Amino acid sequence: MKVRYAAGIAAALLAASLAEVSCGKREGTSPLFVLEELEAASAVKDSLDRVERLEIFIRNNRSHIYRSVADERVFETMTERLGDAPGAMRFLRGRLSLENDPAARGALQLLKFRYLFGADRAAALAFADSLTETERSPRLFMMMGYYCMDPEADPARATALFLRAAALARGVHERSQAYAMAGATLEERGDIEQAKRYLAMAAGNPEADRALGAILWDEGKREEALDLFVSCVARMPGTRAGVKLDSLYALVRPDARDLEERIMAVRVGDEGPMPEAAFVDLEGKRHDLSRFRGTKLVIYALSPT
Amino acid sequence: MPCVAEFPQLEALAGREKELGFRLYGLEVRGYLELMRGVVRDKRTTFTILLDDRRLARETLQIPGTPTTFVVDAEGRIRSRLVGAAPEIDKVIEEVLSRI
Repeated sequence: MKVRYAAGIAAALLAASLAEVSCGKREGTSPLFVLEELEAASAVKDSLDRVERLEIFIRNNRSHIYRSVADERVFETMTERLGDAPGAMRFLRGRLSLENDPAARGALQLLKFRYLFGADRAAALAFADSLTETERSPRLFMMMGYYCMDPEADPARATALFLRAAALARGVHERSQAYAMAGATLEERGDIEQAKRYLAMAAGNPEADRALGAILWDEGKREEALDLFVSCVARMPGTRAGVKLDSLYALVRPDARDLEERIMAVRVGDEGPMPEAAFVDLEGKRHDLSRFRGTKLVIYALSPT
Repeated sequence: MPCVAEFPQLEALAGREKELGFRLYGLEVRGYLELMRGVVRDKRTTFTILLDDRRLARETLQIPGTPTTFVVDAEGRIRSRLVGAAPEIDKVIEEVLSRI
């Protein structure tokens, strides 16, 4: 195995040097081309060869956002297919030593956390603590918080991780989501007053509105609760049946016929301008969204998994 | 796969782009090119899927997860943010479009 790694490193260095020669051309490379390259590396059948190809990809695309996808695939191939956890950890250390971007670093640290969480939960929790002062990715702390929400994990630590995510958040949506989850874990632990405090700080976040609405409903504050359920359903339409909005509304306001209007009043607002950006499609054709001024747009952010 | 589960409704909505006066785009945020192409083939998707190689959704728009739908008016302003999957997402979007 060491021989193959050595050969891989040599191949990677050669490829990297070749890539540097054509660096100027790569700067304007289409994201589709980069993804095609990544998919080709990921599709290599032999696991060792795949790792080598993915490492070459990472070297060639050190500042491209898709390097994080390659990081994940190297790590998964090494841990799951090769059973080489020490090698995977060495890979992470090497990548972290070269990586300054908070989001990319967070993605690398999350790989380690997830692995530890499955293998040695106490070590995972200690690892999460060790990152608090050094890492700056809100998503890293959010994701670690989600893992720790499991009652058999450490809900108290989950709250702390969500609050760390809130402190690092770069905008209102990210901050609200973090406070919403902090409030939700506190509520599950029975700390209702603290939960209410954080859920209120996340007002407008559908999950926070749903959780705070449930608390207020139980406290008999039905009108306030109903407003929050309306807000939740307006922003997260799939929750309508789950929160029983229609039946609760009919119960509290049996003569009212304005539920749909109230939902739409919250659902349609003005969040500000859509950032101007151009993207390529799956065939490589470029689409500049700013060209569509004068036309309404629906942008559906998705993952195929 | 909650996002893919909504594709039939989105496809139906995309068939009414001219009638309702809008354009629909999917924005793939994870970098799963081949998986995405497979979904497009399997579902016979006709609306355009873009690759979010700028982290627009995650970093700039700060989506909590996928799917998240943005409805943008003709002046380029975000008028609605719909989080998560919904059984009748096409009707929800249509209603929003009718009000902006």
